Amino acid sequence: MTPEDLFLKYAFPCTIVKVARKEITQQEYESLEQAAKENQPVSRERLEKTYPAAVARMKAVAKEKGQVYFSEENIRDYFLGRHNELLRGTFKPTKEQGPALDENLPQAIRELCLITTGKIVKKGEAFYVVEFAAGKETKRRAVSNMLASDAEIGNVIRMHYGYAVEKVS
Amino acid sequence: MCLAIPGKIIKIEDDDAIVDYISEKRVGKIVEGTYKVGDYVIIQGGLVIEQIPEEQAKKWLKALPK
Repeated sequence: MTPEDLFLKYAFPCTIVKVARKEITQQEYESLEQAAKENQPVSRERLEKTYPAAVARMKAVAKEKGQVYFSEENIRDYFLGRHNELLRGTFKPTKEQGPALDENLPQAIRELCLITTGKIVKKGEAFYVVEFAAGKETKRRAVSNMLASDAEIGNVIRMHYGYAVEKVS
Repeated sequence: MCLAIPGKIIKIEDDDAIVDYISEKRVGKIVEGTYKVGDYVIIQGGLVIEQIPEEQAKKWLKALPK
């Protein structure tokens, strides 16, 4: 998997929001969906243009950690780190890093937006049911397997807004 | 930041929830959890993935840009 493929898998679940905000067209959304699903190559330039705020935040993380900005390591560091800090309200973005957390955003949606790690406990044709820790509780959630269809019951995966994005182990 | 939109379940047929959004209706499969008509939910990838407490959902729907 290239860093571009990996970035798209982590970023794609939020892309529907860009359609709602009219930042991209439905056609562009479907083209990205197809690419993410089929592992078709998408150029870095196109990703940078489509996800400018995430890219700006990712560049800042790379600079702080002294690592290559568009690398698998930095992409994971960004999504699991800064991206989640933003949603928890513990990181305040600069202007080019996009808007800060909207205080009206329901807590349940905020939790869906976090990149979380969980274990597959059930599998269907197009989905997994994943068990994960949410504070002191253990929760279960259905996620689409569209972006990572290679996992089995017992595997640990990362998920983002209703999609399994990557098998961890 | 996320502009995720909750919708209200208006009908449940077998494991399909028919969900009313601002301008359209969508169908999401219920494969985990218990949902009932009137619940505000998030659909993603054709699945009902989460319930949003009514008060929070209404507040958020009001705050969304038109």
